[in-house]
Amino acid sequence: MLCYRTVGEEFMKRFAERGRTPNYPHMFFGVFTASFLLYVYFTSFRFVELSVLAQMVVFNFIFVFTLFPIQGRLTRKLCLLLLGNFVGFGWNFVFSVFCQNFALCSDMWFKAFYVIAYPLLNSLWIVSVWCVSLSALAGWRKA
Amino acid sequence: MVFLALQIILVLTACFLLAYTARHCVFTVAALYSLKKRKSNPTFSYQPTVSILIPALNEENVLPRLLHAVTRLDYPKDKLEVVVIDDGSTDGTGTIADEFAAEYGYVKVVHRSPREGRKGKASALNAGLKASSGEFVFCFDADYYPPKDILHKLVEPFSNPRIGAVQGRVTVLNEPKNLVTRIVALERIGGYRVDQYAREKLGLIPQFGGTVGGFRRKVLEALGGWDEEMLAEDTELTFRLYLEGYKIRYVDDAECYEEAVETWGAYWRQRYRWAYGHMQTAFRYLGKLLKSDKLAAKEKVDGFLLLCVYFVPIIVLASWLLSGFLYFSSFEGVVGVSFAIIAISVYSAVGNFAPFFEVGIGAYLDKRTRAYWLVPMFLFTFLYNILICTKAFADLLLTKIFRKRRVNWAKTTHSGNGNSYIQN
Repeated sequence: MLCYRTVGEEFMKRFAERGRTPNYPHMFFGVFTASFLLYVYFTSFRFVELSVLAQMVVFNFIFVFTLFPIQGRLTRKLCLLLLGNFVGFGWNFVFSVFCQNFALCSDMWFKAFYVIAYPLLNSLWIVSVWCVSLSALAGWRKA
Repeated sequence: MVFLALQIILVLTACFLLAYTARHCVFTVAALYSLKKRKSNPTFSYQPTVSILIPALNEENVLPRLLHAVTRLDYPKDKLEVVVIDDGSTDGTGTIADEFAAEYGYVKVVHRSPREGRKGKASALNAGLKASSGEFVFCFDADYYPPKDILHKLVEPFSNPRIGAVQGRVTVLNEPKNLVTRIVALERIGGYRVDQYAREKLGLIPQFGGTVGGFRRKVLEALGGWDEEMLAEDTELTFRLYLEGYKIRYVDDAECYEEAVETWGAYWRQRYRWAYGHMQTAFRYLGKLLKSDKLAAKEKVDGFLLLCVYFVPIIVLASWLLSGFLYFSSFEGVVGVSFAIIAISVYSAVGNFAPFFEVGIGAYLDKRTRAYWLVPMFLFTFLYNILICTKAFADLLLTKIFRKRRVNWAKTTHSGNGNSYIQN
């Protein structure tokens, strides 16, 4: 009985401390999930552009290593990670369709704009999704 | 052949940018995973004699605030000396300093005529160094507002004889003023709470930021004081110190408030000076740093990346132009891949010297929940900094080629608006 109580107290102490230290179990779970997602993307590389794949790798890497260790529920973090991946693919799909249509309409000028603005516009979603996710997790902590 | 060479250059620039992305990731993760901050020991009783140097040129709006704060420091007054360097002011700066000197015995004023002074901060600090006598010399810019216990926290690391200098944390006082001050505040969070903190934790090169910090007098005098030819005299001194085998310690809880620039014009002038001075330092010390036998390999790598940090926006611009040229030349293959890498690196670097995730995590660690919403705004400062750094680089090259006199010190004007954020 005493043993159970000691273990329980130890667990509660550790649980309380988790609020102040990085959450490594969440991070490992995040790494596993992101690896699985990236594996799926890489095996279906014929359908995904190389630049999109690179963006996905960077997004998942940054997300897992910076947002999973902070406070917040694991389910919420996973939902935000999946949502981020959907937004990434959605953004890239819309962006590519948009580019194709514009390229048909105004060939040379659009090409020039595309070359200059591409690096910023095509990755805009990463910053936005990351900031919204951090805000959602920090908001949970505040509550 | 030319196109192949251009492709190789593009790949190399992409690798350079990726190195910076990796650096920022490492710093962010290091800051996040070492949540237990090293707290200063309040019972530690190391109290050597200390001189505070305050260079001031036309600072009547902010100097009284700093002098009031300095006279309220809880450091023993018999071990404290405050030296105000009136660097040729034409407003009431000298009179204000004289009034404080008359009231407080440990406050001294060094008056310099406009002809004698106005040669930059380094020159004023050297004049102050000569007039001071403390075992340790600290510097505070006139627009700063130090808390009572800051000297105890800054002095503590000097108990280790290998420590040549210390650096405290800078926080923006007038943050709610407008968009510029809010963005500067976020840049400061990324730069100090994550960047400097991680460098300290990882045993790399924490940088002396020119203010809210101090030196061991012996070391400073042996090094010959501040270099008056450099616009970034703080960075230059940082590297001279490391090359002599000393270390700098960053103290995160020694927090001091600054009045940040409030207009985009002032932002341009300040960052231009930093960029120009930093590049000057890079040209002077890159070779010496790599050859030095007093630095560990990881310090050399960090020092190299730190010295080249103001070249990043220029390299991004060059990569863009090169990518565009190769794109229109219908070259595929390597270009496509590099283009993707550059795209990501560019975005990782948004905010130039602290990327979005670094700033965001800094704000999180500071419990600044509402600040995250401004992070995407860094896109605009990123583009603005590309122009600033490119102009600074071009000017520096022209100065070197035509052997012109260096660019003059552009002083930041302080309005004193930060006073309204202080509760007495």
